[in-house]
Amino acid sequence: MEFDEDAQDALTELINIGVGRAAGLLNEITGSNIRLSVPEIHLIPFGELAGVNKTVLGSDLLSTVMQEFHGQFSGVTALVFPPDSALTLVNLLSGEESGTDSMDAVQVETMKEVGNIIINAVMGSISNILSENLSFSLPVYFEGQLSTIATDRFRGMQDDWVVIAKTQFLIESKKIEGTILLVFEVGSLERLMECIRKTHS
Amino acid sequence: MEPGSESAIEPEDFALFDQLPSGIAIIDEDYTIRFWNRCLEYWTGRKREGLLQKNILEEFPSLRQPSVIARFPQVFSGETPVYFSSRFHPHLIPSLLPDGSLRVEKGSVLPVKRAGKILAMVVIEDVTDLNIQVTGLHRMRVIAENELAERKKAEESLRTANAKLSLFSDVTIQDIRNQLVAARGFNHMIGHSLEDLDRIRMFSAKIDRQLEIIEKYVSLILDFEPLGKEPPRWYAMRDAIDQAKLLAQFPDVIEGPEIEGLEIYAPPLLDRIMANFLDNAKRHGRTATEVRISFLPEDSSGTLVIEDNGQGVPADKKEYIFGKGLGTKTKLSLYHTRELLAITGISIRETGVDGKGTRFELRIPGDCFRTGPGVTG
Repeated sequence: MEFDEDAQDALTELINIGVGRAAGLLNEITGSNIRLSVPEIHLIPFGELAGVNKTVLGSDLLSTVMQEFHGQFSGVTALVFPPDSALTLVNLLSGEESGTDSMDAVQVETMKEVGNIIINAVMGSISNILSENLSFSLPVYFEGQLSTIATDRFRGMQDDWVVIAKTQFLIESKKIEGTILLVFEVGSLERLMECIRKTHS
Repeated sequence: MEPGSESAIEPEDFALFDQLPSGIAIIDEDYTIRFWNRCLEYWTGRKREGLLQKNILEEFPSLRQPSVIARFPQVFSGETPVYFSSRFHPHLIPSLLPDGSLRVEKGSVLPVKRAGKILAMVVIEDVTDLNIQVTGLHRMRVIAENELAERKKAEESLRTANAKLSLFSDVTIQDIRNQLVAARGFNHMIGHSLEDLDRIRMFSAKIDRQLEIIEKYVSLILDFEPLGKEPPRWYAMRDAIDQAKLLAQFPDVIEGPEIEGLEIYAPPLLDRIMANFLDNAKRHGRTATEVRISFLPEDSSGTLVIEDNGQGVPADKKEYIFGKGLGTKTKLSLYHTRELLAITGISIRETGVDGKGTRFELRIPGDCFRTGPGVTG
């Protein structure tokens, strides 16, 4: 399946608007100066997700905050980081130094809120162009290999598409790479692209 | 009443939530409270009857924070649930615990469709115990890490001490053997001089001298014995100096105020080492009448300064005085002092002005000293 360049550009713009909104809210909450870079978007078939090498996502092992969505189109939105980047991000946002290489329960909560803010902003931006609202699950957090996440967490989406939006968190002169994954159920991305085309035509 | 009308939303519709151990409030788009469960009644002390139909933002102004209120419209548009972590929003709906402290909360707000409207269900969970446990675990880990680092440092110092001790022992035993060979030689000479009383007296005196040297070597070995057995430890400098004054019989020591509370991580015998400096002032300072001891903390190290008002050390002898020597029966040589202090990374040099006094500077690594209230800088 091919997606035209205009629709892809429009999707990039929608995600960018959401990411910008998320940055504003994170600044408000944390009192830090946080900037999120313009995301770099890639569209790949779901089957290729497990094969996405670590140069794209930064690590084989990933810290993930995920929310499912259902409605006119369905799927999963996930914010993924290499675990050490996730920990650095949480430490920077909370202004604390944990001194460990893994997250404790309170840090996981913090990560879930950060993920919730970004996912809500991005998906809010996308769903604004639809006449029907989407319903979302609460955020969940887990760590694991991308291949495990793809097979265990994104079940039922094996025949469709993944939007990979890579972005950088710029906090206190530190750069932290994060990736937003939009995993769509069969036909959902086509429906989204169709909506985008209609809106922009 | 028409189904779907505003009045069709009754608190009884949510009675099931009274059974839950989490705080649950249902509010509508203008922030009017439509339900307030028993758990929230218990936590906040505010009865449902007194809160229904009231504005939650007025009753609980903490929800007015921009970082909170800005996220509610997402919920009322029916889009997404919102999650509030205890790190950023520990007291969304403030409530007191029996000990008077504030309950630590995490919250989520979910859209709920009811009677044709989208309401927001605020769910508050008590994570006070979790936060206490996590904080406790952090504290324990810091303590454990510090202890581990301390133990590693002690082990490393002990290894260094043993290596030095082994070197000293080898050298000293060889020196003792040399003295024994010499003594035997003199004894042999006595056997050939039985008719000459003067020669016998001369060789006997030489044997006495050899025995005296051997005795010093044995003392040295015994002095160094604790190094291989005991790891370095933290010394309160005030105590070490007091002990040194007694050992060296030199009471005229002026200590800077920063010495109070100063602790130095050093090998065993620090009091002997300090006594050595005082003894040096007494023996070699000639005109020395007092010794001053001060401490200068810096960013990554600290300097302990021991200076007297005696003759000082000529410029060409500043390194010579640290050359290998035997010391005396009661004190260690500066060579041994330097070697001992090096076990915990402390270096020593003499920086005084010839004719104006001796000044020893002991440079102490940052992790080998800690300071108390008396220290400035």
